[in-house]
Amino acid sequence: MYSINPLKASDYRSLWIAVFVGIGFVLLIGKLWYVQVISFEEYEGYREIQSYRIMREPAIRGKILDRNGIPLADNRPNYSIVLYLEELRPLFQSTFKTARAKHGTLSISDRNRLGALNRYSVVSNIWVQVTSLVGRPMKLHRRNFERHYDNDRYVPLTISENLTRDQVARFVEKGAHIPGVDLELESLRYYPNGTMASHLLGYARKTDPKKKEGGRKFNYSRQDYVGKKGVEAIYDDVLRGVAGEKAVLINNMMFRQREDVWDVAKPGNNLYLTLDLRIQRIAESALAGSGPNTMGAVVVMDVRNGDVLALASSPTYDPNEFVRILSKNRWEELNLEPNLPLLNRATYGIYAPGSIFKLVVGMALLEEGGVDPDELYTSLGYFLLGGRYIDDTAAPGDYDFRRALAKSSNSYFINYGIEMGIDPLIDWGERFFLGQKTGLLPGQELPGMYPSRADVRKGWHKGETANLCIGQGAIAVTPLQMAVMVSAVANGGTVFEPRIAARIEPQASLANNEARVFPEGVARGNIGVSERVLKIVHEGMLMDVEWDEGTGVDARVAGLSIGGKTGSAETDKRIDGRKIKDTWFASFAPVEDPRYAVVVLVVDGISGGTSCAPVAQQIYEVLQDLPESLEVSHQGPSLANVRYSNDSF
Amino acid sequence: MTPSNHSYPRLEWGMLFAALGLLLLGAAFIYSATSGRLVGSPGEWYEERFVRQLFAALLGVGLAGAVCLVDYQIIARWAMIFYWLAVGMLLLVFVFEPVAGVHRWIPLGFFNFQPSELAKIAVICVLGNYLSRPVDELRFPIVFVKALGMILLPFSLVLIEPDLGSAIVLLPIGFAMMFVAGIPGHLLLRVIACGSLVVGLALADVLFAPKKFQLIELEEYQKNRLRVYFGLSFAPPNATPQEKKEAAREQRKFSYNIDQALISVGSGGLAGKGWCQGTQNALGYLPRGVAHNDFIFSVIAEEKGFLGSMTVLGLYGLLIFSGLRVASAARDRLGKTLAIGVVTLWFSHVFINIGMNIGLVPVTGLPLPLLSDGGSSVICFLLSVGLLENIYLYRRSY
Repeated sequence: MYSINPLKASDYRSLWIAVFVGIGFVLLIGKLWYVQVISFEEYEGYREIQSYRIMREPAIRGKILDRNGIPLADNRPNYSIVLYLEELRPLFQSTFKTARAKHGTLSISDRNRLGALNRYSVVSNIWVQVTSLVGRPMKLHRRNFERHYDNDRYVPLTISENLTRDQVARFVEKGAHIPGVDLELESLRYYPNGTMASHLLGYARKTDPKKKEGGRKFNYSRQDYVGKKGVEAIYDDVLRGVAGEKAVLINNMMFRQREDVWDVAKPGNNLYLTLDLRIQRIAESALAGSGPNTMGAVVVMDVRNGDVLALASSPTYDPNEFVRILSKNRWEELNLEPNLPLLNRATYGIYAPGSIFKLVVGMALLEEGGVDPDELYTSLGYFLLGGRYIDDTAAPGDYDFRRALAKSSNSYFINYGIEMGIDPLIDWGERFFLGQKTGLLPGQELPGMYPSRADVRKGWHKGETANLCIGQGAIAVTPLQMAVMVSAVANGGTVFEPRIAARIEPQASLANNEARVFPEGVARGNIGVSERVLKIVHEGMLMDVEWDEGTGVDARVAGLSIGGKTGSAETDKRIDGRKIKDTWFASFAPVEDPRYAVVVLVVDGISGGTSCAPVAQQIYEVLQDLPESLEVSHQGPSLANVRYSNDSF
Repeated sequence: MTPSNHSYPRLEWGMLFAALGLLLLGAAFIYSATSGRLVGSPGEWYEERFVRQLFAALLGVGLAGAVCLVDYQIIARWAMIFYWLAVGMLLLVFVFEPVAGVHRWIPLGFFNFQPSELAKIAVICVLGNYLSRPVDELRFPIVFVKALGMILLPFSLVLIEPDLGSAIVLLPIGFAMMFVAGIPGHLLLRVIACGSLVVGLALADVLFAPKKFQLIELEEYQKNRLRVYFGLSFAPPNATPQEKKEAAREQRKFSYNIDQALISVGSGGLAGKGWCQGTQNALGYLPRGVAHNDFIFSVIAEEKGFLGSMTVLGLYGLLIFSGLRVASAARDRLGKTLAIGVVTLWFSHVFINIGMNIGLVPVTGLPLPLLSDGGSSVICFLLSVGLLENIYLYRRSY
C-alpha cells in the first residue's frame, strides 16, 4: 500500500522535521511569488535599464560668421559607411548552416569557433566589397572585428570614414545591394578661410569620449567639439548646443533590438562677429607683406562704437590643423620662439608704445601743462637730463606742437613733460584705461602696465618721466589697447569697450529662441578733452601723414585724410643677439569725420614710418573703396525676432 | 522474509524520478549558463561543463547503485572508517596550494575533488550509526556530547578551509538526526539556545566590535556578505568621507551579485524568457564564475519564470517528500535517523541556496543539489540518494 502520508502519526519527532521543511518550502514559494509575479515589472524594469546602452548624440556646433554673414567657422559633413551587424543575423545563420553541413558532428566549442569564423568571413566580404567600391580596398583585421563584436556589437561598425563626394556617389549608386550597410553623417568643424583670423577665432577640438559629462556616463560616446581658444572658447556655451541621448536596447545576444531617442540634440547658436572679412583679409596680407616672417599685429576698429573690424596677428596658423590630431612635432613648431604662431600679439602681446604714446602726452601737455601749441621750442637733436643723453630722431631745430608731433620730436615732449610733472600724465593714462584689460577676449588678453600714483609715491625720478613722455620705460600696451586709445582720440574722447561678438542667432530659423544682440558702443569712459586740444592733435596727426616731412608719410592715400602717429620703441628683447625695436603706426581716418582706427605693430621693424605706415596705407586703400558696412547688430534672417538687449551677455 | 514482496515497490521511484529530473534540468541550464558566453570559446567538447556534469552524474549513479548492493546496516558498521577517511581528506586539502585563497579541493588531475561534500555524507553515516544505540543510552549527556563532537570536528575543519556554508549545513543535519533518534529535547534546546546566543554574540562581535576586540576572525569577504545581508555599512563608524566612498563602492560590488540574482529571478516573470534567452547571464550581469553553480537557480528562474521555479521546487518537494517516506518506512531507528539526516541535508542546501538567490538568506556558497555544476557535489548527492534507496530496499528484510 502506497501511503500518501509518509509519516506514522505516532512519530511526532519526524513530523516536526516535516513541518519545518514544509515551512521552509512555503517561505521559498511565497518569496518567489512575490519576486517573480508581484514584483515582475519592477525587476523587469531594472533588467531593461541595464540592457540599455546609452549613446551620446553630439549637437551641431553653431557657425561663426563675419558681420556680413560670411562663415568663418563652419561645419562640414563627413560621410562614413557603417555596417549594422544585427541586420546580418539572417545572413550569419544561412551561411553558418552551409558551412556547418560540410562538417560532421561538432562539439559546442567547435561550433562556436566555426560560428565566429563564419561571422568574420561574412563581415570581411562586405568590408572588402565596400572598400573596393569606394576605391580604398582594405582588409578587415580579424582581431579588430572580434573586439567590436565582443564589446560593442550594438554599435554599427565603421567601414570607411571621410568619404569624398565621388565616393559617396559611387556608394549610393552601386552599394544598395550590400546588406546591412548605410551612410552615416558626422559634422566636422571646418574653418573655410584657413589661417584667416585664426587668432581671433581660435579653434575647437574633439571632446574626449572617455571624459564624463556632468556625471553622465555613456556606453558609447560620439564626439563633438569644444572650443579651446579664441572666440570658439569664449563663446563655447553659445556655440556648443546640448548633446542628445539615444538609448539602444540590446537583446541577450547584445545585438541592437530597439532604438529610443531620449533627448534630441539641440544645435548650438550661430555667432555673428563684428569682424569684416574683407578688412581682415587686407590687414593680414598687408601685415604679412611688410617683410619676411613678420611678427606683428593689426587692429582695425570702428571709432564710432569700438567694434573690432579686423584683428590680425602674424605669424599665423591654420585652425583646421587642430580639428585633426596634431602631431607633437607640429605642436612644438607652433610654440617655437620667437615666432610663436599661436600667440595673439594683438591682445596677448605687450610692447612699449614708443612715440604713439605722445598722443596721450600731447593732450596732457595742452590741457594740463599750459603749453602753448604755437610756442617754438628749440631742439638740439638730443636732450640732456642730469647728464643723461637722450637721443632724438627728429633733427635739431625749432618745433611747435604740431610739428613736434609730426616729426616725433623726443626733446619737445620730454622738455614740456618734465616741466608739467608726472601727475597729469598718470591721470591721462588712466583716462585711457592703460594697464587694464579691455575685456574683449576674457582670459586671452593681457593688461599691460602703466605706472600708478602709488608707484610714483614710492619713488620716481625725472628720468622715468622723460621715458614715459616718449612711451618707454614703465609702460607696456597691447595693440588692441592702442586701437581703443586712438579711437578715443579720433571720436572726440569716448573710450569704448571693444566688441567682437555682435549677436547670436539660432541655427534653425524656426527655432523659438530669440536672437540676442550684444550691446553696441558701450562707453567705458571719456577722456574729457576739449574741442580745441582735439583739433590741434588731429591737425598734428594729419600733418604726420600729409606733410612731406612727416614720419607717417608712407601711409598717405589719395583722397582720404589720414591722421597718424608713428612710434618706435627700443626694447631689451633680442633676436639673434641684436637688440630689436617694436615699431608702431597708430592712425584714424577720415580726419574730418573719423570712422576707422588702424593700429599696426611690427616687432623688430626698422621704424614706424618705414615698417608700419605702408601696412596701414594698404588697409586704408581698401577701406576707402569699401561700401558702407552693414549694421551688424540689426540685420539678419530673423530680424523679426531680434530683441534689443541692454544687459551684457 | 515477506511472503508477498510484489505489493511493496522495491524502489522508491518518486525519488529516482525527481533526482533524474533535477540532473537533466541541471545539465540543460548549465549549458544555457555557459554556452551563451560572448567572449572566449571553451576548449574540447568534453571540457564543456554540462558534459562533465553528466559524466559525474553517471559516476554518481554507478556509485549509488553500488551502495544499494549492501544492506545499510552493514554499511553503517563501516561508518567510523568512512568518517575518519573523510576527516583525513579534510586535513589533506591544506597540503595543496590554495585556489583563490581557500583550501577546498584535492586535485585529482582530471577534476578537483571537494571533500567537504563527502564529509556531509560521512557525518550522516557516523551519527546514524552512533545514535542507533538503545534509546535509554541516548538520555546520557555523554552520548549527546560525543555526538556533538562528531559534528564539530568536521565542522571546524570545513570552517577553516574556509567554507562557511558547508560547515553551517552540518549543524541542522546533526540536530535533526539527534532529535529524531531520541536525544532528549531539553538537551537539544539548551545547546541550541546557547549556540544561538554564542552565534549572536559572535555576529555582534564580528560586525560591530572594534578590531582589537574581535575574538573571531572571519575573512573580510565573509564579514562583508554578512554586512550586506544585515544591510550594514562597510565603513567603520569614524571613517573619513574618502573611506566611506571606498566602502560604498565595495558594498555595491558585494551586493552586486545578490542584486543581479534578484533582477534575474524577478525579470523571469510568470513564464520566463525561454531557455538560453536570458540576458542577465548572457550579458554577464550574473557573474560568469558563479552563474552555472551557486546561481544556477537564477538562470532557471529568469529563463523559465515562476513556473520554472515551481518545477524546481516541485522536484525538490518530491525528493524530500520521498525521503521522509523512506524515513517513515525504515525498518529501524538507524534507517530513520539516516534518512532524516539526508533529508535535512537536501533541504538545507535547497533552502539556503534558493533563499540566497532570492535574498532570503545571506550569500553562502552552497550548491543546489543535483542542479548546480560541480562533480563532487553531484556525486555526493547521488550517493545520498543511493543511501535512501538502500534504506527503502531493505526496509522489510527482517
